[in-house]
Amino acid sequence: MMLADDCSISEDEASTIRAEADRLLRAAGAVGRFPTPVDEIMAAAKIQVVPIALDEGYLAHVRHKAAEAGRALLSALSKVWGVFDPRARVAFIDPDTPKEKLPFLKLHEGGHAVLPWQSIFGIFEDCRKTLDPETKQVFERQANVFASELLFQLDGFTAEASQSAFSINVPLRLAKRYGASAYASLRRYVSHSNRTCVLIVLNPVVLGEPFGFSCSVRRVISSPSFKRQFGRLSWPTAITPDESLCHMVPLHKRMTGARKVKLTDDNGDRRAFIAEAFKTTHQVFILLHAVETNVHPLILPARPA
Amino acid sequence: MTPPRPKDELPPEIGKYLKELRNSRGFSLREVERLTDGKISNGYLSQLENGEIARPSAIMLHRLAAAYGVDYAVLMERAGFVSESEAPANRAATSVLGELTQEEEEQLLNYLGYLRSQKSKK
Repeated sequence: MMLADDCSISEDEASTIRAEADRLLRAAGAVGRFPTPVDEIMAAAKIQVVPIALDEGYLAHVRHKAAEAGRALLSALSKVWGVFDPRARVAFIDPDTPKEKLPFLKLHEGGHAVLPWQSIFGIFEDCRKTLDPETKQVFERQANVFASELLFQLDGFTAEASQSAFSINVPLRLAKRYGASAYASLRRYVSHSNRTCVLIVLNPVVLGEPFGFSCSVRRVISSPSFKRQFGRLSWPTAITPDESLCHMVPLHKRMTGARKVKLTDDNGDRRAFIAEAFKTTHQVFILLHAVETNVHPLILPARPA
Repeated sequence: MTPPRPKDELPPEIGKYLKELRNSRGFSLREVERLTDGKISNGYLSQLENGEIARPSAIMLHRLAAAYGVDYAVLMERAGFVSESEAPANRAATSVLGELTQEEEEQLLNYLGYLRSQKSKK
């Protein structure tokens, strides 16, 4: 199933989250420091970060009462990367989380603590009440936006990225500087770009019949300009050798260099794009940006006096 | 922005409740706008109270709870964001691979409670 883009939160929510992130960045003295000092930001927010660890004594106690409950706890802990305890103000993080994902994950959990309207999590923990699933999803997207604003120091990343020619290498280089993952950096690069560009995030390649290979589409992130011009474009649920973008998938290498592709905009016009791709253990990224058409000014000869 | 509801639908309880709250505090729509630093415009609040906005956002309810001095959780419940359930769910802020079942979430919350109690003993 394709996931919703974090940009789908409202403008009001986005600007409020940004203001909270700005306040916290300043409180932590984190502006202009690299990589972004995530642990100092969490400390400034008075959030303790603790690795999730199983207490064997507790597990034995739970199992003694009901074996099923013990199984459910183990299963829950195997699924959880991060969980925020609002009452203790503790962010529990899976210690096996890949190192490059840790900063974003910590800040995401921090979002649940800092965004005041998310205090609802701590209020009804003991009751037999349910939070509307759509609202829960919105809260998770808001926490992602909060983490991204902090990690990329508001406009800092975008301003630095705009100093270089548009390329997949730019966010990959800046990822190291800001202490972010390739995934988070590529998403930020596209979602905050003033270019007409789009990022297709694919799940890892699955080799085999009947297609030879297949990668399911996990998420598509568009720049505002791309959304305006290609809003009606539909994406396949998977890239297979039958799809036009199949040649972009780096099967036996890490990257696919720049190639020209064409996409049809909402007016039915075919537009030229440059596509590049990059692969990590967990995802394949295809970045497309529109070829800028330079309109040269028509210079008329001077009229004779 | 939340899409407006068709006029012929009955206004949801939250709109009526918010109007009663505002009146009980003696605030005009414009005073609420001022109290919330313009974050809740008088036009938006009027639409909300008259049931022309089906679902206010949690952030808006949080601002209104602060302006009226009422419990935010009550507004969330009145708006239908939080409801009684035989099998309660979505009570924990989690980043998970897939989804937690109701039983898994229950056990996880119990475990967090246990860890809290251990921490407070130290």
